[in-house]
Amino acid sequence: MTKGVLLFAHNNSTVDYVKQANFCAGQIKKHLDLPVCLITSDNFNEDHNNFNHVKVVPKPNTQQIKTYNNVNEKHKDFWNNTSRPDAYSLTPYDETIVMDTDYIVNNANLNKVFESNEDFLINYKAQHIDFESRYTEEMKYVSDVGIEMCWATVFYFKKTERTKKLFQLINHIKNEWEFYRFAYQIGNKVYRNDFAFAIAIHMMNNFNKTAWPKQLPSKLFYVTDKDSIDSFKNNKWTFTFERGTQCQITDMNIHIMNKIGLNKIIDQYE
Amino acid sequence: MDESLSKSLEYAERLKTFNNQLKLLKEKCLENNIYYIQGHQFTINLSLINYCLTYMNIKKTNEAIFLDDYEMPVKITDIKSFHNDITDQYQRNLNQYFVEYNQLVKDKGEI
Repeated sequence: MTKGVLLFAHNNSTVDYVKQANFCAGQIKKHLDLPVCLITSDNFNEDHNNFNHVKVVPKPNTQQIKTYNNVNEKHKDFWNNTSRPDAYSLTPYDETIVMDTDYIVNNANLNKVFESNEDFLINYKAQHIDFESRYTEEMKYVSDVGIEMCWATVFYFKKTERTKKLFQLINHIKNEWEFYRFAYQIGNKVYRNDFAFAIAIHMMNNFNKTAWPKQLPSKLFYVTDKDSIDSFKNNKWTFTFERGTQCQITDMNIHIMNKIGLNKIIDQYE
Repeated sequence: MDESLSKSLEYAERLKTFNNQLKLLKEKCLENNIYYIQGHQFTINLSLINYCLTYMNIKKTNEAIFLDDYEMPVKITDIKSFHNDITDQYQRNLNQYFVEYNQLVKDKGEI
């Protein structure tokens, strides 16, 4: 059985996702020692040498707009997030970990997924590392009266008939997003993979909550785009939260939603 | 601002930072205690370690049923080896927690 990590990167004028993916892949190699496959629609240069495979796909034409924050700085730009449901057909591996390029691996805990009997693992909970942010509470369900949230930031799957059907369903939900967002009472018009995955899991479980899929052996810790990234050195990240408190984490995986800030740190690191 | 009030606020901010760092250390220790056997997930804790010891004390080490983190039953066939593995991992993580906790206390200064 082949194992590896799949990353998706579609640049816009605000964020160089390919550069971010290269940094992310470097951390994966260092801590997980796994091959990395990049799925991109962008130019790829020889400085980006942390990938084992690169697959070039057409640029998704979603025209979705997202606001990118870096503390008080704001940029609106196109958000090309619609390739992820194709992870099943695009991965060159039998067992795959898919992660956002702003999910930074800092330990080997994710390798434990390969010891699991499960065909799909994902996080249902996300935890801000300040442990008091209201975002954490607000993001438990897809809407006020909706189903339980899940986080497509990082997930694991092995190729089985069930996961094949799951990804077919996620693709269907993506294509019929207007219908499903009304059916599941999601106010936001913008397609989000987190919501599509949560809906597909709910449908695969015959519209119930069951024990499938189980959770990843690594909790999803995050900082938002309102938090500032101060430094990264010797596997230690330093952040300043929106409310001014400083925080350091060492050897912990972290989802850094402040993509602009992350790219500035990557520039210094390189 | 009154000097004593200013000192109190500074103290409160340092205490908040310390408590946040401590929560992160606890979370890291908890996550590092996840262990897989036969495809099932166990979070190592004293209860699991003592459950193994109970079987070992009555010389029943060849097989027993355990409940994993999702309360699914798993037959463990070599309890002694399982106990050695989880105790070793648990102790390593506690050692790391101890070292990092002491460093945190040292770094926080006079609170």
